[in-house]
Amino acid sequence: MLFRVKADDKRKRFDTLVMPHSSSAYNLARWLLGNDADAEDVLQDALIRAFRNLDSVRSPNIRAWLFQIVRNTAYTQMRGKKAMVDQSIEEIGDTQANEESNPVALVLQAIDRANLRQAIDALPVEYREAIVLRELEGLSYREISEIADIPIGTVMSRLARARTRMQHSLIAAERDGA
Amino acid sequence: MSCKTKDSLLQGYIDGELDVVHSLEVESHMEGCAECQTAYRAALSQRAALSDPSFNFQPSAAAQQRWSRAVSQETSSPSSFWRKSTGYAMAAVLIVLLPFIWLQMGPGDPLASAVVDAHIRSLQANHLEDVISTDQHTVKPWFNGKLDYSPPVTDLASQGFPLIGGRLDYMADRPVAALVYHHAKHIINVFVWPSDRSGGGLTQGPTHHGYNVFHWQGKQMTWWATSDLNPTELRQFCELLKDAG
Repeated sequence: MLFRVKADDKRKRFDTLVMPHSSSAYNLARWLLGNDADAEDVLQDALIRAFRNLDSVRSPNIRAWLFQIVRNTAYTQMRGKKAMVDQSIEEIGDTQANEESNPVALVLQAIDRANLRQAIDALPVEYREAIVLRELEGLSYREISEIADIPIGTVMSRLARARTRMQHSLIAAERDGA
Repeated sequence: MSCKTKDSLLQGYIDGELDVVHSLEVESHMEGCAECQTAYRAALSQRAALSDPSFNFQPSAAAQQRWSRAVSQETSSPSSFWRKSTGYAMAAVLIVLLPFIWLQMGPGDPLASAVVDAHIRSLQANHLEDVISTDQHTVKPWFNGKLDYSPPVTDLASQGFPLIGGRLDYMADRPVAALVYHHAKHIINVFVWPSDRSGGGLTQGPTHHGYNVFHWQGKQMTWWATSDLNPTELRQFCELLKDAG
């Protein structure tokens, strides 16, 4: 009986604290994994993990905590599936560095959404993660650094590289399309 | 040659993470840095485009229901891995120990509770004794013809546990002798019947409804004693009875 009451109580807390963030957490998983099925599976696993660990959360920032679990679950899934067709940062050599150092003078007036989506999908997963957390989820550098377990300086450099790469992709797509 | 400011401070400026001093620093830097100006404007146009709701993936209702059910499974049944494992481990321990527990308690726990039930019944129904006597030589012959055995009857009055009578009871699918003792306003019922098993030292059974139960084998008999008397004194009583001539 006592167990029952405690379990119900825990479920109530979970539904109040964690579940409201499940949609935005799904958005993160969906951008990281690139398809609905994997994102849904990862989120289910992540929610179960979150439920099990609910009693030991010390952070008052439940959303960032859930994002961290989702992010780690997604990375585990990607490693397991070897489905990372896009490059990880470690694989980016000097070829990219050269390209990135060239200033892009052209700024597009109107960005085509399909092109932008492709530009994000083409990013290495670590850069994509930074852009999604910053631009779509509106998280602070501190939150991003905690979720991705990187220093704030790395958050900034990843955002810088992501933005530059996206701009290159958008301009290239615009040229090819025109 | 990439601008250092672009990789760090400019991003903080774009994302509103800088204090006033650093913001002013970036603004004055941008006046003379075309690369940062371009990067800044590009980031703002990206941000404007990303504000479109189509960039936010929404989970389907079906997926959300599935997640909720998955979490419910964690809640409802004690089925999480660890609880399951604990359950299995305990079951395994129990299976291994069961024969030992069984041997310890003789015919087992149901009998211990039957002993207590008989004890309570004897107190409730005003049917404590069929033969009222403090004399073991009166009690013992009384059982003659009523049972197919002759129970050992010992008075322990000199040790503080006077025999006050005997009665017929029914236990383990047979009529048995119930001996009634008295100690400090507590009634002790002793049930005794023949048993092939030998040895069996004194063991304390689980407490039922606040009554203590002790069990032992001896004199080719199986013995059960129960009372609301405290376990220490009841054990003392049982040991006296067990060792009695």
